[in-house]
Amino acid sequence: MPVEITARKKPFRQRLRRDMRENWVVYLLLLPVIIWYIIFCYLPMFGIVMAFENFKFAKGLFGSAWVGFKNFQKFFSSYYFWRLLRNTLTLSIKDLIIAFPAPIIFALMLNELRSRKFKKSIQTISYLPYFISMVVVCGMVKTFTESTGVFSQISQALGGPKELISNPGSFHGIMITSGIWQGLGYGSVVYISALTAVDHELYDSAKLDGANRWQQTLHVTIPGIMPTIIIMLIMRVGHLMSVNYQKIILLYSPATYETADTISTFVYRKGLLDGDYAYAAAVDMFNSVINTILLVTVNWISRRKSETSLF
Amino acid sequence: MAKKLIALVLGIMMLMTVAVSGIAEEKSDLHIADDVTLRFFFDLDLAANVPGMQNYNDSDAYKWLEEQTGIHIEWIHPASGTSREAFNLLFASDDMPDLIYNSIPNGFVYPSGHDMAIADGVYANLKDYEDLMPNYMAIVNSNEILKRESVTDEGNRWCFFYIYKDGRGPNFGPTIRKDFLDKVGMDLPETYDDWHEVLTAFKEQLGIEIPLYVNKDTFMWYSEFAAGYGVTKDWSLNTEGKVIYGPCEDGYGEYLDMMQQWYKEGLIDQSFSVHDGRWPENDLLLNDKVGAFPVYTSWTGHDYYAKQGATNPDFNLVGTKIPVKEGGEAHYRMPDMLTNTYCIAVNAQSKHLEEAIKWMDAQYSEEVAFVMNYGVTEGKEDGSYYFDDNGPHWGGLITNNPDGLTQGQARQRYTTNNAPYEDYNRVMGTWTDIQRETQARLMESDYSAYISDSITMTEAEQEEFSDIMGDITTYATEFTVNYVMGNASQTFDEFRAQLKSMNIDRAIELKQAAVDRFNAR
Repeated sequence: MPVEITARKKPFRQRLRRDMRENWVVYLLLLPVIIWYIIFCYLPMFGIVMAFENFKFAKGLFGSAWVGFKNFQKFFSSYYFWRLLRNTLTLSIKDLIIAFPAPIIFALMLNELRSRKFKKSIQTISYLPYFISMVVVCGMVKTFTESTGVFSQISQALGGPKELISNPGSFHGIMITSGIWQGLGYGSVVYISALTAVDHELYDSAKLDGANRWQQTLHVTIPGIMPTIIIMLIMRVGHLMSVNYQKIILLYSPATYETADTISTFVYRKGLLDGDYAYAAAVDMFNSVINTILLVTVNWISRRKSETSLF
Repeated sequence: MAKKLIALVLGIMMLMTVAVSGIAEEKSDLHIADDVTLRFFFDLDLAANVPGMQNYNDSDAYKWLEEQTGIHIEWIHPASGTSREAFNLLFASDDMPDLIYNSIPNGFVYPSGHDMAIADGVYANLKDYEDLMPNYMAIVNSNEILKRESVTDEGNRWCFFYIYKDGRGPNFGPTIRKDFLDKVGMDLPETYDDWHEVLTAFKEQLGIEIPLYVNKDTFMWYSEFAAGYGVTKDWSLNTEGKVIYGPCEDGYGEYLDMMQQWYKEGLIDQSFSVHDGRWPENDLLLNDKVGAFPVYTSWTGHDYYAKQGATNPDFNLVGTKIPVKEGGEAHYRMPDMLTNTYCIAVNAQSKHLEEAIKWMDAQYSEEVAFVMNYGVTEGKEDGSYYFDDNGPHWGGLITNNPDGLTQGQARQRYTTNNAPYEDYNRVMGTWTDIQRETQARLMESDYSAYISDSITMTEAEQEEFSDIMGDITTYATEFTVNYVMGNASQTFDEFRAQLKSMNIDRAIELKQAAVDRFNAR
């Protein structure tokens, strides 16, 4: 009778210890990051308790009275609830549809360039806006879109609104356009590196089959970087509900609350400016719950349709 | 023999050292304690406003005070723009400072109210320490209004108020460029129609970009242009003494219609939602782009802005009366103040509670108040104060600072701009005629519509009130801005109906109850 010799793996702890001994430098490098996550992401989670309390600083997190879902009810019955939800979702979805593909298209276009020098210089120029501080960018945007600014003048000449920055209808456009301008170059880096990983032999065999440039892009390039695109998409969905609130705060005003006020900016006003911490915590928690549901859903869909998923 | 000589010399030297140290040990009457450091949260970005100063310890007056009392103060000044958040965070941290600046009109108050601050054990109830604060109590008890304002409905004394010795008239109001007025040959506007003519002339004849500057969130800080319609942007009293919420009243609708008309004609800053300062930024103002805006009386005239770099040598800012309807009156303006907006609360759990109270109280004594107001160096030309037949005045160090500091900056450096017991006469003594006239004009409208900042509500009332007003204030601001810009999606009557459905009447009731209790104190 043949004897089966199966090699069993050593138990997990032993393997871990051995790995740590051999690669301790890597673990050391990882340590600060883990500490950061524990302190700033996991520990504050206990603050969620605040959302269910009538929080008073003097009584503290565990001494304040428990009120259950009262803060949430206050939010759902707020005059502005539907508007906030609507603005958050429309701004995020528009951003996703318009701003997400932009770096991908840009990377594909760059890929077509023959001259290396030209390609490199375009890439570098496109990175630069990313490094300008958001506050400075918003200052510039406001100057260009106020009633005496360039874009508003163009808009007036074309018969559009007199001033863009205070026009609720143009707010989303301004947010997304300035976002693309700032993030295009930097965002395309991931895709450019993914493009270099597509196997050249696939291109050769496609050419042999008689595919032209456009067909090659459609059938070789895009499927080649699809895993990257999917992962980036899932991560993007993770930010959907918090949709860049710092930039909104810098650009909005009571004139544009109608389209600009989102759940996160509302939380900022109520929580930090008015000091109503429990209410703000409840609203923010609602925001996070919705976001998590979206994230898990998108991840599940992508796991089913393709084999790529984040978790 | 030599030994005896040495012994004698040594003996004399010892006697001398004893005598000298005896003189050095004579402490001032104001001495409170040694080696005590008090932490004081005060909202003032000195480093940004005054060159050479990091905090109040760099001011001559406070340096003198430290020498006299022996108490060192560790100042906590939040960076400009972050003060509201810094204030709220104080209560959430474990080590609150010993002394905390509060300001009711600016929203720096304990979230659930002063009585709760005491009940929660956060602020000390100064009522229990009145024997440690003789100077302050003497001042407060000498005036009926002060007595009422300085305690809560329950009789708790929650803070030290900064007090004006002889009161202070309104110091903020509408101002207009007199040099522009002269160019178009018009007089100071008094009624709304006057203002309309003047602003139109500015725009059409002089080509001014921003005839009237308004603020994006509040429109006008003290509702200067709404007062003539009998309303303000939020709470006031009507002519019968009842509490009203401005946006609910008919007058507010008329006010909005007027503003909307003015905006359409280009008389109001077209980009006001982007220009979000309380008054215009220097680059607009100094380049003659602004015709009129509300600002401090002391900034009128020529000199203040000339120092800031005004390019136009004729620059002349003059204050006007609160605008009224034809033949009408305005009953609202910034009130005559007995108290400055600053209130200093003492941390109930401070380890140096008594020292903190005594230190604050010392600043209300004659001797210390004088130094805080006038500084330590005497001299008409190069000192910070001098005396003449009319009393003390500021000296050359302040009015004509050799290092090029403006008066406001010099005041911070050598005295202090806002002393706890302030003699406002020193400020008015340095005023030019223009400023005095501005003040006089402002005094022509009374402030009977004004609701005191010192009214208080109970915790439950305060919560209910904040819940109701939270959404309402956003709604009212938004509607106002959109209506003026011509983008309103509702009519004024629909707006009012909506306010009613948001329960504004209950909020008015609550406010009225608080006012009634205040009047009964």
